This record gives sequence, C-alpha cells and structure tokens, in this order.
Amino acid sequence: MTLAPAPEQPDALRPTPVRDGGQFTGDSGVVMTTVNRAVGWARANSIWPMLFGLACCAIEMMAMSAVKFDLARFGAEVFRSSPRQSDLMIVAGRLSKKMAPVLRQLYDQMPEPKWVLSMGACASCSGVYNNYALVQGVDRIVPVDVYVPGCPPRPESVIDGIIKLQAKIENDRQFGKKDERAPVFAGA
Amino acid sequence: MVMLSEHRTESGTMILNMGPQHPSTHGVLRLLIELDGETVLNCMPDVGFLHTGIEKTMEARNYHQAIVLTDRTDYLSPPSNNLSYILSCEKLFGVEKEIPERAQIVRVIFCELARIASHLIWLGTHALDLGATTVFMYCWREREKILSIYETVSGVRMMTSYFRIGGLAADVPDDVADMVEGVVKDMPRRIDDYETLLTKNPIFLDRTQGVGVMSRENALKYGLTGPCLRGSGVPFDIRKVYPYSGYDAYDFDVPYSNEGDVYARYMVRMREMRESVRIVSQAAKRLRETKGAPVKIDNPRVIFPKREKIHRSMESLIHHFKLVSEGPVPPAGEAYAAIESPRGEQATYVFSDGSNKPHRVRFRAPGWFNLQALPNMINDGLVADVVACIGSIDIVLGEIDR
Amino acid sequence: MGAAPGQSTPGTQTVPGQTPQVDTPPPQPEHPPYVQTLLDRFGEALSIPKWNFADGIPTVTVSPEQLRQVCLWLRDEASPRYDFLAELCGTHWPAREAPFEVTYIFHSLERHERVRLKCSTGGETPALPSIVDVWPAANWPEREIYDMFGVSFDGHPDLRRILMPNDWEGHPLRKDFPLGEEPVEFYRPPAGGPASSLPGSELDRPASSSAGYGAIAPPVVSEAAEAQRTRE
Repeated sequence: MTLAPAPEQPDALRPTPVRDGGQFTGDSGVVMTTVNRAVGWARANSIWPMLFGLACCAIEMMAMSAVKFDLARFGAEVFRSSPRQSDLMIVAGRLSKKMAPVLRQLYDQMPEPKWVLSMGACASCSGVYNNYALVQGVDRIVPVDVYVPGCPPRPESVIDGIIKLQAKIENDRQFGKKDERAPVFAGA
Repeated sequence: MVMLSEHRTESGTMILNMGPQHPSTHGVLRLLIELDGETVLNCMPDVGFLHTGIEKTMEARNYHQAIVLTDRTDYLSPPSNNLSYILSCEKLFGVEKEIPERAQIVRVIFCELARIASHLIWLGTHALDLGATTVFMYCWREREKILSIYETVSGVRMMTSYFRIGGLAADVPDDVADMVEGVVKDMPRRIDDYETLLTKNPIFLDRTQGVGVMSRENALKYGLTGPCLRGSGVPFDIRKVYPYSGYDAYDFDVPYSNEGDVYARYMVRMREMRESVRIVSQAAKRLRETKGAPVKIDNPRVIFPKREKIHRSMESLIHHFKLVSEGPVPPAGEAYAAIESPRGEQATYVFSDGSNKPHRVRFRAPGWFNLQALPNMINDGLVADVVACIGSIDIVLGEIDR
Repeated sequence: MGAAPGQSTPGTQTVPGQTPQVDTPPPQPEHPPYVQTLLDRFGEALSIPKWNFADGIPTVTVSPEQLRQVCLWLRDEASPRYDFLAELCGTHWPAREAPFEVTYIFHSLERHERVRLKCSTGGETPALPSIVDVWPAANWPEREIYDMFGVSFDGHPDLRRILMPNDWEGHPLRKDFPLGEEPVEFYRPPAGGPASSLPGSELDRPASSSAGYGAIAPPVVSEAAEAQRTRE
C-alpha cells in the first residue's frame, strides 16, 4: 500500500514534533504524548544548575554562561547559589578531602530529581593530582550522571555534556524518580 | 545562601558562617563573622578547602613534568605561575642570563595579557558582587579574545604550560603579532567603557569609597603586595624593583593611590590594565622585529637536541631519551624567583638536592598574605561590605590553598 | 661556626641520596655591608651557610634563641630598616641533624634590599619562637609550617591546622609522609556485555555475536558537515 503524498504546506504551519517519539496527529496542531515524556521534555529544557565552582573549571563554567558560549541557548543558564533551588550540580574543579563532606551535604539538600555533572579531569578522577589531599573522583561521594573530560574542558565540551544530560532526562522512564542508569561521557 | 547558619552568643552577638559554598567568596573560602546587628565585630577566614597538595606532588615529578602542575595554582593567570617557576629553575641551572630576547618578549606578552585577563575577571565578578551585572558580560567578551591568543600559541585556552626551562616550547605562529595588536588596539576603548559604567556610578561609589580601608603601616605589617599594597600608597612593583624577563626595557608606570579603600584598589587595577596594554604594544612591536630569532637557549643540559639530529646521531638520541625519561638535573642549591603577578609578589622557591626531582617547591602566593589582612580590613564595617572587601583583595583560592 | 650546640648549619652538610651534579656551586658573592653589620652586631649567633644560593640573596643562619632579637633588630634598628616580610617557608631535610629548616626573607622598601634568615630545629617536638608579634604577616605561614611539617611556634596566638582538616593525622610535607597515590582504575566492560572484536580478546571473555566494544568505528559524517566540506 502506498500513501498519497502530503499536500504542499508552508513550513511555518507544520506542527513542531516533540523530540524523540512524540506523536502529532495530522494538521490539527494537537500533540499526543505520555505524561512521562511531557515531564521529561519540560525538565530537560529548564535545567537549573547550582553554582558549585571549586577551582579552575569554575572559570570555564562562568565562560560557558557568559557572552561567547551563552548557555541560555540550551535553557540551562539559571545558575542558583542555593542547592534547594537547583537540580543539576556541576562539580567544577578538584575536590579536596576537607571539602568532600560539604559537597555531600549540598547534594543531600538538593530536591529530587537531581543530576550531577562531573566537570573536568580533577572532578572525574583527580586528574594530575593523584595524591593525599584530593578525593580521587567525585563519584566516590555522589552518583555522577555525566563526565566531561578536559583540564579544564572547553565550554563547548560542557555544553555537549549538558545536551547529553538533557537527552538522558528526556528519556527518563519513571515519573518523579530518577532513572538509575550508567553515566554518559561527553565532549573531549 | 548556602551553608549559611547563624548562632547567637551569650553577649547577644551573632556568629554568621559564610561559605565555603557561597557565590561571593570567589571559591571555597569560609568566613566566620561575628556580628552585632549589621556591624562586623570580628571575622575569621578559614581556608584549606581547596588544598590540592601541589607542592608535595611536584616533589614526585621531575623538573620538566612539574611545569604543568604550576598552572593550576593561580588559575586566573597561569602564565605568571609558569614564569616564576621557570625563572627559579633557570637560576638553579645557572642559565638565567642566556635566555634569548624573543623568548623574553613572548613571556612578557603572555604575562601582561594574563594580567589583563585576570583583572577582567576580577572586575566582572567584583562588579557583579556589588550589583552591576552588565560589566560582567563585557569583561568576558574581551577575555575571550585573549584566550584565543593563548589557544593559537599553545593549543589550550587556559592552562598554557608554554614556557620551558631555557626558553619557550616552540616559536609563536606568525599571526600572533596581528592578534596581539588587535587586542592592544581594542582594549583602551573597552576600558573606557567599563569606567563609564563604574567609576562615577553613585551606587558603586557608595559601596566602595571609604570601605575596607587599609593604612600603609598595616599593609606593610601584613605583607600585602600587588594592587592591595599599591592601593595603600606604596608603589612597590617587582617589575621595577627586580626586573625580570627584560621588563627594564619597557616604558611603563606603576599606578598607586593613597586612600587604601576598595575604590583605591579598583582605580589601581583599572590603571594597571592600561599600563599592561602599553607594555604589550611595545612588546608586540619587538615581536615583529625579532621574527625568526631563536626562542631557546643552546644548552644541552636542559634543551632537547634538534629533531633532525635525533634522527641522524645516536648520541643525540640517547641524550634526548635521558632528558625525557630522567629529566634535567640541576646542582644542589636553592633559588627564589619573584615576579609581579596580577595579585602581587608571586614567587616560587625551589630547593634542589642535586637529584632530578625538586626536593621542595614552595609557592609564595600573594593571595595567601593578602587574605590574612581581611579581618583587619573589614572589622567595624557592615556585613554588606564583606563581599566588597573580598572582591577588592582579588583572591584566588587555588593559589592560597595550593 | 657560631651555631648553638644541637643546631646544625644547613649549608655545611651534603644531602645523601643521588649524587649531586658535578658542577661546583658558583662562588658566593662577598656579602654586602649590611650583612656585615648584622654579623658584627650578633656575632656568635649568626653564621654564613656554605650552600648554593642561586638567587643571590645574602643569607645568614641564625640560632633559634637569637631569632626574635635578630628580627626585631632588622625591623627597628637596622639601616636600612627591613619593613616587609616577603617570605616564610619550611623545608624538611631528613638527613640533617636539625631536619626542619625555616626560611625568612625580609625586604627593605627604602633601598630594595633583601636578606634571608635560616633557622633550623629538630628533635622529638621541633619548635621555634614565633615572630607573629613582630610581623603579623607571619601568622598564617607559621600555621602552615605547623600543619605541613609539625614544627610548633612558641608564642603563636592561634596555632592550629590551617590547610588540612582538624582531625588529620600526620604532616603532609614531611619526607616520610607518603604522597598517597592510588593506583589508577581502568574501566573493564562488565561480563556479558558486548565483547571486543580485536584479535586475542576472546581469550578473556566469552565471545559475543555483537560487533563490538573496542572496535574502531568509522567516523560519522553528518550531512551538514559533508555539505560544508564540499562547498569549501
């Protein structure tokens, strides 16, 4: 069976499909989807990261939110200083053993659902500082969703990490609960 | 505000815990502030939340490998850290007088661009702390231009690690002179823009004038250096007093101010940026004149043999292998080399026991001494002035905690 | 040698371990007149160490008993006055009799001259007199030396750890403190997952039908990038 070609229609009138599997019906502009997908779509495009600058990577994180790279294009520019208002913790920099309890406390203060992006080599595995003072990777303290390598990573790398995280959030199957899945790797 | 808890003492004063995770402490600084109403009675900084063990790690690396570790101390101006470590090593190896002119010119350009970039971040965040959001965006725009120069030369945006013991890693690409001159041409107009936004802004004046006053005597007693000391009326600048990398060949002034308040430190840094632009413009001219000149010394003890020689001669190959695997070996001794970083006297003190690894490396971080004076600066001030004072010291916790 | 009994002068001993480079240290420059006045004033308490000071800053070794007097004299009576404490740091030389060496560098803003003092201590509980009341700038550096080397400073107003957590055991910058390196963990794909198709890898894991992990995939070229390339 062959379908007749759709009638010509200007692009502006076409309904925008919801990314990744949303169904749209004909030309009426009605979108049908599941609650899971709708919530995931909304969450993914309004990430509120927490200002958690530790070291050098924090400077690149600021550069990412500033003029040239402009994180606002991806709906994640509302940096919050309070963990209670944020859902993404960007661990930007090396984590010392003195700071580790603070990081865990801040993570516990964040409301569910929450995600962690480990930015840079030091946060992921302590980088060039394999020594007594640093926690050898923040994944020993908090569960990490996205690893971004680099020392420090370029802002584009971190943006790639955030896009990968958005895809992950969007595909979250369980409503209201964080999906337990393997972390993803971004950038480089 | 995160991690901000309050506790009342018996005398009715309040202990406020600010940090270590706070947007205005510029990193992971923790302050314990004792308040009577809105007046700060006492303030106790608590540092060490970013202690990285860099000094200990450098003892386990050879002299070449340790270069990359120095970048991450003062991460707002990595070339300055490189330079002070490299100068110290060059003194140990006894090659500090042989450094070619072109290498010195590039070092000066890098360090002065780092000063501008660092002051831009200071200006943006300091203004942001005091409520001026626009300046932040403008500052990052100009900083990206400087970072693109770094990237063209060294391949990395921030952590350049471009200087080597005995010169530079390689000569700079040809278009760098144009890029540097572009920044030089652009910057004075941009600094005018920032000054339009802040220098006579009544809100900014209220928040900075007469706030955080540091007298000349106190500044000296607490070992302040850099713009903090110059803001208190002492025109002390390592570039003039102990010139390194050929700074005595450049024409520039050392701005200073006698008031000693936050506004004085602001004015000193703004004028310093203009002086840096002057230095860079002279250096860029010399960079063009010395095109093609060598950028490394000809000393086999620290510099790898040329690539074509490695391919043809067995001795060169062995020599290269030894220099890479074991590293250069200086005589036993010690050397202290100070430079003027954006924050003050930044020095690296290298102790050698005659082996291929440093026996001890010590960073004399200007912020380490400057931050000590913070209680003296803000006592009897208002709690809102604390962030103004922190911003005006321009702390970088990476170099303080190391 | 004018050092007090029990105190060694840092420069007179060679450090064991690797043989030093054959280079002889450069001849020490004649110490400038202001160091001579310092030597004349304190005589027995001071000495000039024989050691390669590659930076050319004139250096004297001082006994711990005389440290405070020398600092006060430098600040108040010397000509020129040394009105600025530029550096204070510690070093650990385990082979020496007094293994903990503390270095002070003073600066004179009047004539821009520097002088370096060295003071060593050792024993079960190494201690030195504090100079915080002479130079408030010495506060944090002395705490850092206490934290990192375990040298206590008598008379310090607030001597406690500064960089490490309060409950930390040991002093990290001592030579007998290990660097604390951890072996690097390499990622191993879980059993039952896709196996590598590289030759020899089937010996490690049961082979799987999927083409796999470790194989090098051809680069994915998007249409837009291809169009961009052909346009150029």
